[in-house]
Amino acid sequence: MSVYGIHKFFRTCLHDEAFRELALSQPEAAMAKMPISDEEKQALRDGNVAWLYEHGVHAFLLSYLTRWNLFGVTVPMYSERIHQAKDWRVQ
Amino acid sequence: MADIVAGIGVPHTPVFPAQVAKKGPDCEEARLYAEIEAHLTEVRPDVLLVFSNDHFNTFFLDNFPLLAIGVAPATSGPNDQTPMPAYDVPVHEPLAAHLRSSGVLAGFDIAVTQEFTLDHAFMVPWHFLNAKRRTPIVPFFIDGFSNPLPSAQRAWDLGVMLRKAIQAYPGKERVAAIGSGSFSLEIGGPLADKGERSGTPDKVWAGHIQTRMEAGDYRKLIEEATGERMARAGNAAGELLNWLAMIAVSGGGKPRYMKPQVDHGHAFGVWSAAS
Repeated sequence: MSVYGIHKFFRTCLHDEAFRELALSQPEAAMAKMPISDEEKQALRDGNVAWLYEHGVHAFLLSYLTRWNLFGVTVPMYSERIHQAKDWRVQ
Repeated sequence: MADIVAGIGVPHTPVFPAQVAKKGPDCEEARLYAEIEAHLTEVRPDVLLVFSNDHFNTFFLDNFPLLAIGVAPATSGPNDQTPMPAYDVPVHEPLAAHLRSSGVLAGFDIAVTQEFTLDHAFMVPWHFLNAKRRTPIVPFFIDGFSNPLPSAQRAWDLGVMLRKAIQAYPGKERVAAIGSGSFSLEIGGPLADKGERSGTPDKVWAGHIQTRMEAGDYRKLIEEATGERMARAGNAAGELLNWLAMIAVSGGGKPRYMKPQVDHGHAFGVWSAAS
């Protein structure tokens, strides 16, 4: 799984206002426009930040969730969940 | 032959323009950028060769270069909704084209873009250092953000090569190099501060980088700054590569000025150009 579609989803949210509005109002329709697997879609719906990070999503793009509270993810929620992610840098 | 007149290192923290607009010219960030701008004004540059790293805005993962140069008459930015004024930016196209050709002939596989816009990594330095003077730039993109990164040695060697290429350029331009970015910064990852979107996970490493730079000990710094070491200092800590290229262009001496913002994991620095 490349997670490319997830990266493209977040990047498009920043650069395309119409897509961002769609992602906020009809997230299923927005996800359908991107090459995202069913497993990835479920992780987005669940705001499963740790799973997405552990599967290779770049944290900078992933944290776009909090810029517009996509899928209901706020900064405190995001922070709590990302700190549960497995990361070789965390001893 | 063109002259290299200075090296400059600054952060490109995207909230700084809005913060400084709110807090005024006496706040720490405003004063630090103003000190750097004064150094830059003193050396009367005709061109700024700016090393920075795109954050998936100018480029994306459909086609993401490790090294790239912008060769065009002009560009603009920011393209990433950074809260700051929008600017049109003149590019020194002949020098950019020369540096790209020289680099490729010297064995550096430098991608070219002839139609592009810039994100905060280039535009925050522009805002603070160059918005009034409007000195043309040559934008040089080094990947400091999407792993695997070029090595620290590669960034240094790139700067050494570009120094020679500038000196061989058939013009009388005065060129200052700018390197922009943090030494320790995590955005959105598990090393961010709890409750926040970002953080400075390794202030010790950031301080150590400054110590090595002040000693002019780049050989040891390059040995230490492995991809793994930089990653442990945060997912934006690879921005050190922009500084290493800048220092190599300036001739690799000690900084004549360097002030850290310890809590931010970054610094402001000035290098005189060694002849």
